[in-house]
Amino acid sequence: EQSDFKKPIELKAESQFLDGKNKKSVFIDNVQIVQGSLNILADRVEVEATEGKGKEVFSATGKPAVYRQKLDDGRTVEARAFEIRYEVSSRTISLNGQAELIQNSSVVKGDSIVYNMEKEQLMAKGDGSGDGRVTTVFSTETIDAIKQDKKPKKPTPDNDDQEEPR
Amino acid sequence: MNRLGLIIASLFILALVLYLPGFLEEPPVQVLDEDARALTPTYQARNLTTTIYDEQGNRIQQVFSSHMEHYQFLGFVLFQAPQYTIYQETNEPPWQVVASEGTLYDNNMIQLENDVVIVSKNPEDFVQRVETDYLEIDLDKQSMVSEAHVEISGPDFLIQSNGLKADLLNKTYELNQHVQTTYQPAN
Repeated sequence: EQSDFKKPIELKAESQFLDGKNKKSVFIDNVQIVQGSLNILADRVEVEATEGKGKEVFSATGKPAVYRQKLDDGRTVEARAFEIRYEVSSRTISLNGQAELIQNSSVVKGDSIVYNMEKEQLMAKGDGSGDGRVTTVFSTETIDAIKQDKKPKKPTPDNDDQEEPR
Repeated sequence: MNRLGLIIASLFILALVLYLPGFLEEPPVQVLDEDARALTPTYQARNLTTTIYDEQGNRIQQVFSSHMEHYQFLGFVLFQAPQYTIYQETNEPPWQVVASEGTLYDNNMIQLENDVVIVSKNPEDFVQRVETDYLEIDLDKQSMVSEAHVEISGPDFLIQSNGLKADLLNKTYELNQHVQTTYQPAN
């Protein structure tokens, strides 16, 4: 939700190592990032705070790391990847390594996905099989919704990387 | 000398013999036993400022205290409401440390208790403040250790943890029982 981004970011973890000189922190074991309805679970999170307040970058890694957030319409978006990088200032998350994003019951899989949480838009690249394809699976529910609205609500994939599955 | 006189004189001599040793004996010198001596401050001072230098003559720390007791035999100095200034080798602005009580041991270890607050006098430092109720500082290694609850804060974050290991020189902090860290959003 939009209101999430005005809330403090809370991190829980079993241990933390803080490097005051480089303004970097590492959180280890059962790491949870919470900001309103935004929630990231990971094994390890590195936080870079060199740019100062509200411009931190959180790099969460896990097998996989999991992101969840409630959308303004009440539904939930979820994503998984080996690395989830949350840039606070641009309100985007970058998913790398077997990236998967589930939104409005459609699933996008790719090697890397960049998702703008504010605009609820995503850009996917290569599904890791080496031929640059991205797989998008629309559930029947979504297709029915499209028929009804007659205004297909497609994600705005990057044209040269995206190939629609038929 | 008639018989009565003789009796009185002998009684007098008898009394003299009985009580004379008592008078001659010197009052026993009060020798404090070892423990009692150790527990008595060698010296005390009020509103004292102590400055400590290393072998090269660099100032390591300075402490002001409203009341100080030095226990030479036990090898420590007790400070009431100490205000420490811990100087950094890199000539950066120092750390300021206050507490309700402080103990400085001969091996340059400081033990601080109750309302311990450490403040960095360097506005550039990422960590600006550390608060706890118990802390040990090793002046030689410039390191800090605590098992108590600790709050570490900087311009836009607050860390809560149980226990802390910190290296003041390298400015690293290890929190093995981390509780929570909060980053404030941009305003």
